[in-house]
Amino acid sequence: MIPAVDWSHIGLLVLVGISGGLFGSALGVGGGAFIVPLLTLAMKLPVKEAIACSIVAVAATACASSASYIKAGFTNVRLALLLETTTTAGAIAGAFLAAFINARALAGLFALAIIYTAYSMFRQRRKIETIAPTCDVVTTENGFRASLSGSYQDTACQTDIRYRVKRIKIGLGASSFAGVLSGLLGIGGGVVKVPVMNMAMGVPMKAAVGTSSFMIGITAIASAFVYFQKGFIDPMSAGPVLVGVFLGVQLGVRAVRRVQPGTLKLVFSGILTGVAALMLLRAAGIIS
Amino acid sequence: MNKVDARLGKHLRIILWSGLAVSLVCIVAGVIWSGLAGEKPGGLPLGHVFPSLRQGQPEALVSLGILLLLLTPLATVVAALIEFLRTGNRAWAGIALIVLAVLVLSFVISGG
Repeated sequence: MIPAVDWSHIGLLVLVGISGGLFGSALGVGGGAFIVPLLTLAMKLPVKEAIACSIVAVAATACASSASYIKAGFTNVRLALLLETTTTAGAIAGAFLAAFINARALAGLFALAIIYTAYSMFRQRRKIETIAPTCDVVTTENGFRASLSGSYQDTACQTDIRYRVKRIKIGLGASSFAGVLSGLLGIGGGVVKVPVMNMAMGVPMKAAVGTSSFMIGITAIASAFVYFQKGFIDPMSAGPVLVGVFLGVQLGVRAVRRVQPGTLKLVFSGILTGVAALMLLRAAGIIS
Repeated sequence: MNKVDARLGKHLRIILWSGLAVSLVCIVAGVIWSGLAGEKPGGLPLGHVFPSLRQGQPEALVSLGILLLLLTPLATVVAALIEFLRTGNRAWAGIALIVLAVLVLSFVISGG
């Protein structure tokens, strides 16, 4: 038995990381949506430390999952960079606002954000993914918009998916909001980005998940440096969670390749509903 | 997927996996080292990480691992900027530069 280290506590933190990495990578949301409630409700960490730890876990989830999704062809790197221009600015603003906002109010904001997302995803679960006819149609547009288009092979549907990105301005606006949420709440912003890309911008669900996975890492570090410098990141909490995240991502990425897009959306909405309910109870002071 | 994006994707995968692996090794080694030393590490600001590492403090190794993890997504943006500049994609190089500038700004604002 090693003094000064509670190994059962570390084991629980690893499990928290596994769940965050698994669901975060499978849904393109970074895992903060699950890690923050688990750290605050189950592990009794203060909210700001939980958020700081979550941001680090989000960065790890993003690195591990986006590497796999880039290989699978799901990630649209150009679209990710474009949307990140507004997301990163929002994240910086959100990180500074977090120092002035009450912890229960933070939990309430979080819950409202994911309730909206869960409802939207549930409504869209049966929507057929976009299959643009040919790349020839895409090249008649101007070069910039054409360079945003993407394609990949969906092995679960046994189909080649080709898509064109639409409503870029709406995407940029929603991304800045996602960035503020990221900085405020320690989430990767994927809870906003995935639905916006899929439902408003014409990006198929798996491409939205893959692109969001790449984005959330960049978004997370915009606010993570603030938490790092303020000393909110506790290495003894973040370290074990990161190990768990790495393990969980391996499972999540494999799941995404095998399941139908509609199933992903259904799971996404169900889990987020549960998390939202827990955070609302906490914001109301019913549970600690 | 065109050749530029394929090559960029390959570079990004290497950066992501390498950054994650090195940071995890530092973090796990630092936590184990802390346990063996009977210490409970706290968070160190950037300016204290390397001096503390030179003094042989295990918490510095954990903080270094976290810092490397946070720098990995930044490295992917740099890689994208370099690739777009190399292939003459000025518009996309400009977009990558904007993202990089905001990230550097966040670092400066946080007092790094």
